[in-house]
Amino acid sequence: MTRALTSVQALGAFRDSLVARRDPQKPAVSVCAGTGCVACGALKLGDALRQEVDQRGLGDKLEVRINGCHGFCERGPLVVCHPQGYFYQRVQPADVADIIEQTVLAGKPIERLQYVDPVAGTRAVRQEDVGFYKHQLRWLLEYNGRIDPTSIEDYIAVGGYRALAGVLGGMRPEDVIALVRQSGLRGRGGGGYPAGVKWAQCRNAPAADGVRYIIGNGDEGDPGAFMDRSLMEGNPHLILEGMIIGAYAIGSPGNPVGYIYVRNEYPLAVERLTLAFQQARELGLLGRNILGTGFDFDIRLNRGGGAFVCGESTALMASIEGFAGQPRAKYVHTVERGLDNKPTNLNNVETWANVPLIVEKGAAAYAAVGTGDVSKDPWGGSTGTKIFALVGKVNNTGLVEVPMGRTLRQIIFDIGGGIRDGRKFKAVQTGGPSGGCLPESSLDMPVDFDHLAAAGSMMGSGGMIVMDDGTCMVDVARYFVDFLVEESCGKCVPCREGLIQMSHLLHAVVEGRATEATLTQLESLSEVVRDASLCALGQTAPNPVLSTLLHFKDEYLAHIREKRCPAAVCQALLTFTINEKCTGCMVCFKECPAKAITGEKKKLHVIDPAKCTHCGVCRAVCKLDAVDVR
Amino acid sequence: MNKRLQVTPARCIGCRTCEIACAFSHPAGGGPGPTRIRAYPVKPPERGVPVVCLQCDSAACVRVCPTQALVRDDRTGAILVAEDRCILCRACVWACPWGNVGYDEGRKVIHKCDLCAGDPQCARYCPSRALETFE
Amino acid sequence: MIVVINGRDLHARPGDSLLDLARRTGIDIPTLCHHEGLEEWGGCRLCLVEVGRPGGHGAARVVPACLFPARDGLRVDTDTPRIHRLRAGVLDLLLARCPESDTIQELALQYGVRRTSFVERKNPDKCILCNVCVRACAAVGANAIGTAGRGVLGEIALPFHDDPAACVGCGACALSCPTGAIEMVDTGFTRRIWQRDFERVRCSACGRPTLTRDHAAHLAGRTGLSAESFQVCDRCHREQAGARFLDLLGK
Repeated sequence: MTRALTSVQALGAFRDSLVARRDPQKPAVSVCAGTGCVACGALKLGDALRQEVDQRGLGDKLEVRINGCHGFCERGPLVVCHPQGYFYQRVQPADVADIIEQTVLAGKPIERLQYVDPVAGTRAVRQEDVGFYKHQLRWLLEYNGRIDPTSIEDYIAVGGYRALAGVLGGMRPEDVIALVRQSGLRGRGGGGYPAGVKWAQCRNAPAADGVRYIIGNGDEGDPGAFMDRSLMEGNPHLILEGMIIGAYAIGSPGNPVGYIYVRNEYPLAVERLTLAFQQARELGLLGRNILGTGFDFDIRLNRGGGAFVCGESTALMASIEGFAGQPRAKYVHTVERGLDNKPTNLNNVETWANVPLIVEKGAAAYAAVGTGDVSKDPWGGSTGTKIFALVGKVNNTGLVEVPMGRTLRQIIFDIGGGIRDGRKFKAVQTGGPSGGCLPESSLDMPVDFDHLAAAGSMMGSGGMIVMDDGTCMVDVARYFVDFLVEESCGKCVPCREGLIQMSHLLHAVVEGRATEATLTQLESLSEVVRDASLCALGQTAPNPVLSTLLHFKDEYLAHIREKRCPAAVCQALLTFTINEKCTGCMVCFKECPAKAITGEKKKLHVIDPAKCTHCGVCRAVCKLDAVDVR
Repeated sequence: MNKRLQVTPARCIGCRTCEIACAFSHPAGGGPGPTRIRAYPVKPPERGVPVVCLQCDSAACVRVCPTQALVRDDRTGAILVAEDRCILCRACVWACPWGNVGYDEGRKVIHKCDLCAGDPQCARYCPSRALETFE
Repeated sequence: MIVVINGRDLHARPGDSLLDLARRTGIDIPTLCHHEGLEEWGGCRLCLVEVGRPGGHGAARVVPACLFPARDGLRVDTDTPRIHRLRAGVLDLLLARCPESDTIQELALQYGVRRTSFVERKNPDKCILCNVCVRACAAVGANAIGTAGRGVLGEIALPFHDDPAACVGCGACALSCPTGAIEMVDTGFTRRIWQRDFERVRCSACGRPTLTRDHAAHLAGRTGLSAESFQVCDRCHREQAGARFLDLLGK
């Protein structure tokens, strides 16, 4: 490995030497190795590519790169061939020979691997031609598809650590804080607290022994969310660089150590970050006397034990201290008394990843993207980009990075390609399990911190779950409340006892046992849980219930008054009948576990509703679509 | 009204009036409470030995208490039980080498001499000046 | 520092919580998990009060009085309809958890909750998970119990549910529990608590049972007092003290 870089200039020289050694025209095949693509066989594909390259003796002429997440998980494994930038999707090891021969050697695209827009029918040659990418603004994810996350040289070659060098080489800590404040950067973990304001509070908090802690929160636990994961796995140095800059700005002369807290369910993120720290230390970018400037800072990685609540900042700090991951009330803010009762600045890893960009772009250019005006008030808008995990019933699921203020419609339809299987949009839930469900009338609302909050939902960490007309909103509320019942830490009564009672009430609705009084009780209980709970988990937990009660009350009423689930989801309320398509094949007759079906060969079968347990086996086994459910 | 309690055992006649005075000035549950002072009669002749908390400088009860529920009152010098701070581990009861801290099992409270807020009633009623107070 | 509680100007001391101030000035705020001698927990949510911003601008916030520090100019209301509703809601929930607890029944009744409006827990015990016992055990220095499991399935338990090795049998947990949820049975020279039988020391003077042998060893270790000093009960200690005085007097 290279010697440590002992000055800001040495880093520049090192970068120049790296760039000089690299030929931008040299063919390279980039394979996405984000979690989605790996699940679809990206690693096998990478092995097959390398093997093919070796067999053909092309090692010098062609580079095979394994990258972090490219975002378009729906179509993985993804491959990009450089220098042309040809974009291939759903690539299998069997395609490797063609890629080498036709694209790498002959420079031609392979049509069968290209993406065809399902609506317009147009063929995308390069990544930027794909609708999914075209409408994004990929600032944070820009290099995810271009660099090898295990190579600090890759990161440095594309300009990595230049922001840090600029800061250490010529900015006072106060200037850095002012810059971040002017950029309008707000906390990406969900709180939306202006980062510059928080940093200044932490820097100004009296620290008796000179100790202030810097923490990166990578404990991403929302179901269906993987923004932080993709950043940590795909570009760990970006987060690290942001944290080092933050540590310099906030200042901790007494104990220059920070923490990054990653859930243990992300082993690859743990591995990549650990490697990144090690590489940065070897190059003198982390540890003692960074870049010869006399600034010290190091980072330790802390693995979380799989509790959703540990993403809450005070629970996270309790966990680092070795206590049970339970939140503490923060009427004295953690910037004054956090980890070990010392001033602590905690930001989400995505927030940290924005910092080098702000330094590079400048506050004004950064703040030019987004909504509102942050020039006077850091709460005045939402600036920069936000990564969303777009999942659910959309055509293009994956990681989406857009400027703050794009509408839900643009994200779901232009980028997400609309609703799957030609169905109709019904709702979108933003912000994770305790976000609200927004209806069609909200589609043209700009997505930023303040608009989402005003609409009864939240930015959260950026989860975005799209639901179609086949989704029962009562069942959705039940699902999320049940999730939160399991994840409530149990410290405070309203969250622990309130959520289980909300679950009982919602189960009564979906099972057809509820009355209209149930809804009244659900609403008043929601108020208790929201207002009386100790931490944000409980305080926001009623959101899915309150927002669906607000926007989809008729669905609740259908379950209660008509004992009917309009989306035909809630099992207990379903009625199964056999229509005239039935040929009397006897399959359902044999499979019905309740023996509720009567019939003879070649005669129309009949389901006895008194015996039917609504299990749906008959519908699942019928090849003729002869079982109706309603 | 801040008085010091002085014990002169040689004067004690073992009448146990002090115990009654203590019990009645520390009522519990509508009646007299457990006495914080004992006067052991010695026969013959009619004499006794009063034993009451010495409010030690470096008191074992204070040192052993895990929740700082035994606190010296700066005004009277008495070591008082802060019942709301007490977790009833009863360490003080076992730790006092003089047996001067007691536990009321029925009411679940620790009790000891509190110098009656600066005016010890045992001394007031002692007929033989075995217990005296000084200004 | 002046804090306005229910319209009264009250002098707060530095470090006061709103609960400290209220209790000192005779304002009643209910609590279950609060214990003056233990670290603040903030879990029962009964001590919720409304605080407004100084000057009265902005909407009132609901905060727990036990944890919220007194600040100059703060306006606090401890008994608004909203606070009443929230406390009643919390007690309604606790009553569903512990329908048999007198403590909860009495408190709930004060807030107009006679029976829970929710689904009662199956096989309920009296534990409200206020953690007073765990904090008391930590204060004693034994750290024998903690919370096992999470959320509504959480319970106060021994490590791995069955390892009472760290317990000294002092009984502080049982005696400080606000609902009497922890069972401690003394039978002669045996104390049963936390699935374990503890031997109680036989007072070397009167022969009556006193503290447990483990508690005696624990206290000797913590206080520096000799182990022998815990072999005599408090009553005999006192009687011996009397005898010693008598010796000093030369009868």
